Amino acid sequence: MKNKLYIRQFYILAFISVATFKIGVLPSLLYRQAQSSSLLSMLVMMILEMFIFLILIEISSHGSILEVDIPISIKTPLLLLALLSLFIKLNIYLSEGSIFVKNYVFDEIGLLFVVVPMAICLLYVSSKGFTSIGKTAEIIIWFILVAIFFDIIFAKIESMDIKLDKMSISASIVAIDEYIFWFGDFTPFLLITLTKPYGKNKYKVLFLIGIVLLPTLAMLFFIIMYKSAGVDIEYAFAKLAVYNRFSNIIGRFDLLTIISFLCAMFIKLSLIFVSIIEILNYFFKRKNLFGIILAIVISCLTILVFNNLTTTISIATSFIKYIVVSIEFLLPIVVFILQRYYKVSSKTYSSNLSRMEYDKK
Amino acid sequence: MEVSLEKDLKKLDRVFKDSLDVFKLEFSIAQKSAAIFFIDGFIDKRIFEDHIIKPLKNVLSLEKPYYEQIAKTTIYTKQIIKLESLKKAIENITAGEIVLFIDKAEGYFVFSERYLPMRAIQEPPVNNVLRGPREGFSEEIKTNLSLIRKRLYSKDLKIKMFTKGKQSNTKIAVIYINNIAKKEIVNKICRKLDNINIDGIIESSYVARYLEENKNSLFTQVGNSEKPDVIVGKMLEGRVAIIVDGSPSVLTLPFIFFEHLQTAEDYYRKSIRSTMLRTIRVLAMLIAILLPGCFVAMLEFQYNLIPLQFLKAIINSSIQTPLTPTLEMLVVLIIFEILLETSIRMPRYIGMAVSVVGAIVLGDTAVSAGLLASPTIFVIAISTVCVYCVPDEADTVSVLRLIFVCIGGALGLYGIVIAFIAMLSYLVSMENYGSAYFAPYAPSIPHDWQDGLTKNSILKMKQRPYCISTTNRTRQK
Repeated sequence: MKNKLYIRQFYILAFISVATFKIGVLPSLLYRQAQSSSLLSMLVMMILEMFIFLILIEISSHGSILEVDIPISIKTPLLLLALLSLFIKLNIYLSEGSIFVKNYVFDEIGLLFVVVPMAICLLYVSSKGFTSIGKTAEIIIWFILVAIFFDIIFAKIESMDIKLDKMSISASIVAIDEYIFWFGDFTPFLLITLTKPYGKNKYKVLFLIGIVLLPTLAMLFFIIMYKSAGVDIEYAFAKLAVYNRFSNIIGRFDLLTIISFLCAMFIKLSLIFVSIIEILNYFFKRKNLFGIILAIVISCLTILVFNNLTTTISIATSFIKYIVVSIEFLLPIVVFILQRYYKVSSKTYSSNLSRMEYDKK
Repeated sequence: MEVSLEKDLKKLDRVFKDSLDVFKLEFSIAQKSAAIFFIDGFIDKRIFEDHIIKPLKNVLSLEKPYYEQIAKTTIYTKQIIKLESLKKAIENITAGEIVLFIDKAEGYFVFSERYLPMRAIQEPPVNNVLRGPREGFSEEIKTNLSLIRKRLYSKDLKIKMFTKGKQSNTKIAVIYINNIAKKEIVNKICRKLDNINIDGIIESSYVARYLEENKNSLFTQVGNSEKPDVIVGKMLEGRVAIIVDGSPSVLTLPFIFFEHLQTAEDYYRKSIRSTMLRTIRVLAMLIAILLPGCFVAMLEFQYNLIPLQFLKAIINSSIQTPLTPTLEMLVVLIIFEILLETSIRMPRYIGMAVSVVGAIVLGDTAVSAGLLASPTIFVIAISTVCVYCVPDEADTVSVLRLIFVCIGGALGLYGIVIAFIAMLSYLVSMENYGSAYFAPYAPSIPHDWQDGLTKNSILKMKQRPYCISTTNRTRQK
């Protein structure tokens, strides 16, 4: 099956999935709502996400939700809920990414020329399955890490004044409540199976720290560099990358960051896209057809409905956010409990022999 | 069985009616009628006359079984093979062997004394090294087998022979180390070779097409080298080598993408230098594929992303050129491809003239006339040099850079990123005889990183790479 990943690939996908859209419009939105307290909002939510990922690792080591022996009467509604959440997330994130490309990467281009190539590529990559996305992420992560390293090392920080004394818990809670849609992207990982049983892994701590650290650091830098001007910034990471020590010497030098973001965005959208296809395929067994239909539907929705950031944000902050977030945060816990209840045993899946030999080492 | 010389001669006269290079010599051995068939140009006349014809003519009596007596009489030749089928005898004649027919004999006797005109062992033109062996394979399969054998004095070195090609009857050897190569891989290769159905095999690339698992892929899936030390090194890692008679290029399987970035010299130099060079090769490959497309994309769409100092220089050079950046890049790319092709095909005597035309006319005059921009020529020149930094993948890279130029011109940097990810997704999903094509980086196998992009000392490589399935992982005792 094409949904089997190694633990390292799982971590990389999780890292990309968690971080990507949290460094887009979210920092600006949070800052608008809570000023300095937005740092607290980000930190609290990232710690919560970290705990949910610990549960997801445990779930995936026992098999994906599609494979485990849970009665179909229970599995079906869970999958349908997952499908709903994934579909909404895909549309919002696709819109956010497409509008970024349209407004920031190009001077003047129609949304059609951004969305359609993206949809075609998502369709192609999703046909290869989770395994291929995991392997692609293993290569892309090097570019992303280089971009992060470059941005941190050459960041131009003039003052570290973030007014910690002005942080308030109530303001951060309000900000979390308002923009909670951007937190919790767990559902795709319910469809992944780890190729060896959960056990000791030296990258786990690094991964957990990375999940918490990157978006929090991005928020911190954003507040430090832009302060009150941050409310007018649409895409935080892009503006963080522009403002570096090279910009006074040779002009803007944010190319690496933009390319890394595009790659990460593509990986994340592929993950959601392939999750939807896998769930639909579980019920109807017409993978290619559903892929084409989904690509057409999301393209049309993005071009016709989610074609500007204001609309996208207003939909994401409407009552829909509660539905999506409930599904995202509660579904892993429910699946975890069900696996324990139905005593689903931990499985070992064979990969090619050379890899198995290596894993035994 | 019993040979009927008269009948067989009639058949052979019909078969070789217009084959003027097939000679028949009729004589008698101990008063028994005999005939010998050979192809002129394939025999060593001295051996033929002194060690075959003269001894046979001097035989006074001949008793059955003839084979032993013939073998003793012609003891200075290699071991004689006895055939019982006329069809096989004809195949051997056309393969250049000397075949003896004796009336009422128990079979046909084959003397394997082919003396083929062949190129001397020399350094291959495409795999030059500063340090290391300079021997290269030739077109003769036996010579190539001996070049491998002399580097692997091992009882575990096994060879399986196939004859394929209805008209060419080309010999193909599958060679592997028995306690290292995985049986399943060897058997799979043999099965694929068995299924070859073609009239003639001229070069090893014909066989490579049959061995590929993804037949329509642009990317190389079968390794090849003209150097015996490289082939032996790969066999010691668990790969299987395939030698095709008539081709100096020996194939290896399984093949992974990062083999392109490895050269023989990496294993003869210090590790730090090898690591540096491999990194440079990766950069060169990325530059070759992506630089023209990115340049076009940024000029057409994302000029605001170019640092200002660079943008000023590019605009000043390009402001008067009549073509758009995309068209200009395509024109220069095509001209460079024409120049490259011409430089391979042209006679040596006019090489200087064509070089002058290429360098001065294109490089200088076109720019001075304002027809082409110097940054464009500069970008293509760098890209072309980088293409040949990894010569094994030059064909693929040349095609890819053209595709990326078109994508960059249509969709800018965004299109290039999407296309790159799609290409990456395609590469990582490929598998090649059980090995992931993009191992050891996707999937990540940290043990194999010691011989991937980085190169560790040979002293620390105690185990064979995990990305190739083998039966024996331990390299050293």
